[in-house]
Amino acid sequence: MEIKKQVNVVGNYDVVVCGGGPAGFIAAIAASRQGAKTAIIEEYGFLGGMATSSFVTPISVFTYKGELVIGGIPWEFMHKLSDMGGARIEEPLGNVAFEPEMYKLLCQRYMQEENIDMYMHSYISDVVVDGRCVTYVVFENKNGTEALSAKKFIDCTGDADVAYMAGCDMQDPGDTLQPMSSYFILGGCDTDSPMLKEAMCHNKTGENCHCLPVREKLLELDIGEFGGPWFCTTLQPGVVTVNMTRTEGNAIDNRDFTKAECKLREECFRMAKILKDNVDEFKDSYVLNIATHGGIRETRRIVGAHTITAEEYVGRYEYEDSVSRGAHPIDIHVAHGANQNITFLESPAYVPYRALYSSKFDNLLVAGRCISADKQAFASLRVQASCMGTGQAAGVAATQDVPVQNVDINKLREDLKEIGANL
Amino acid sequence: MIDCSGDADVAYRAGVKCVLGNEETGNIQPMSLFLRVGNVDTEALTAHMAEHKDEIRPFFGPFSWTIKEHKDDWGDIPRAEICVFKDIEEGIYHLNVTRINNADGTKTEDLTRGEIECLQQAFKVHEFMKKHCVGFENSVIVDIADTMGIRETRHIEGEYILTGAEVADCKLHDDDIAVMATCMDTHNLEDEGGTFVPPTAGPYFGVPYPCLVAKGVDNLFVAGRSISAESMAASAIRMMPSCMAFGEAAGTAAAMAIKENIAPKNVNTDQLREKLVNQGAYIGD
Repeated sequence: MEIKKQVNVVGNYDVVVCGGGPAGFIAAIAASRQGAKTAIIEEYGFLGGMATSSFVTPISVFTYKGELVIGGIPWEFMHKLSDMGGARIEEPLGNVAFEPEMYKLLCQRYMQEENIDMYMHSYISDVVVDGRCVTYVVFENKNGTEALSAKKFIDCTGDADVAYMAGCDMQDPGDTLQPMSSYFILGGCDTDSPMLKEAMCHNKTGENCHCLPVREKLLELDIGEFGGPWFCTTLQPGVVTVNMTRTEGNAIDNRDFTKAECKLREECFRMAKILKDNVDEFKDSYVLNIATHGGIRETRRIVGAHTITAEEYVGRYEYEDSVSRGAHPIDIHVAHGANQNITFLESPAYVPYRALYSSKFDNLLVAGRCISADKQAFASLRVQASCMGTGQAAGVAATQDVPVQNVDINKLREDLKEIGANL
Repeated sequence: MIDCSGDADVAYRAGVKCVLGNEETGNIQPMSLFLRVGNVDTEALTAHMAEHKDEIRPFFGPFSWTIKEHKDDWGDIPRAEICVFKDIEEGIYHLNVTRINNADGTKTEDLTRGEIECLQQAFKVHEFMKKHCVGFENSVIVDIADTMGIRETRHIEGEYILTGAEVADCKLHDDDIAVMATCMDTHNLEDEGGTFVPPTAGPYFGVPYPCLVAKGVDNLFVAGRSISAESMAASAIRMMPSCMAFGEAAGTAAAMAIKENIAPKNVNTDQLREKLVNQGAYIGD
């Protein structure tokens, strides 16, 4: 079926950030603070992405063996959130547990303070290109179909939707994608219990922070596919977030994603009941919340000017154009069963600027989990703190008024260091 | 097609004539973002409400006395009450209190502005309640709704337009597909008040089938708050149970129309009503 329609171009910006998740809102702040007239397009009525629509917690990982790995705006945000009473920064590992509603509030305050125009409840549906230039990003909302033009676009959709629709090459997804998981939140838990207290503190370097005693019990019970379980706090007494549901599925295949959402919702209730029936700390618990949006680990990644390989990443290869770092272990959840493959890094790895753009376009940057990396390196870079780091880098880079491949790397690195980024 | 978008988006884009808000004044009811508050002292709250029960009026209900007393702290939140609804779990209440006036739910810029404003209000309200509201001294915000609740946007022009007078008179029709006893409940555009008309002329009023049939398109139903009704009448049929009843009627009628290969407006309403009753619906005695 072919449709021809009128699209209203409703704004023209220096920088348009596509997606308001961890990479996106940080990119927007970074760009705006460099003086760019900036807009952000977001499908929900709030920002935060996986943190707020999917309750992915804790936010991993800002420090490593005492050394700050993701500095600058992301770290500033975490501290502000902590000052509000909405975050707890775990030392020394630098994981951050947070309260989702305050996270949303702080995000929007930042946007307001930085004069970033927000286009909420807007779903990006298309892209218009002209040669090597992305000219418009098109989105659907209650107004109808609208578009924004910009000098630079930053794809923070998580699924590289803008890059994909523009025609950039994507990495080979391989045989399987990492599974999806939906968090659920329980109230009425005994959060004073030593076991839970320990499990909710994700602060031990080099250790998988799942709750071993509960995991062992669950394996005995033979409950089918599950992950972890990882428990975390929203800082509210009696409340525990649970990451243990799991399903294979491809979130960029709409039918698949729809099926996965339904399955995950069932699993959330099923797992909640299993915990209630079998773990003392949960005997009076009840389901408070289930993630609005299924938690996505993996969909697409662009083929950038450089693809970060596992060797480079684990070997801590220091690129000339390093603009961000990563310290989370290479973390691969197996699609079937209850397993997880983890490789801990000896020290933080690097992300080169060339992983943030495809050679096909002069004005398109990518940040977040969909940057140019192979499956292993991605498995570490996909976590929220790393996404924020690349968002910051992309945001600053987008404000140089040259094609993305001609960015002055030294100036970019200096600008990033000046705002506190750790390179 | 059954347009259950709430804003008659499908009908509107298909060219069906729609009225946005009140057909006379243009008033569109405000939006509200719900929040849940936990660790509430339910005993104290219940006692407090009982104590003030004679002061509770439409739009000036629970804690209206507290808001009046601490006007400075309340600030410019355009609401004169905090409606508290019990959650299934003990100690948790859903609050209907935040409000964004002068906003059009069919405009993205208004939705964006509303979300931002209402989220701020939610936190402000909770701070107020911790300081001034009996039972909420040690309360915590459990969560805040993903998105604002919309009371009103478009009303389609269907094969029949339900009027405010009919609702006030508790009128019944031969082709009613649902009955309800809800009140006409309209929040004002400019201030914190509103209009509240309970059904007193009878046990309930009826909503006739042609209100669900879009005029001018041969295969389109509308179900939900945007069925064919004047704005005042719509304010009484916009609640969720009513919307569900309309959905059931539209779905059932759609299947019938397809089976008999006829247009929605030609569905035999006696047969439809019989089917609905067999399905357990209540459409009056």
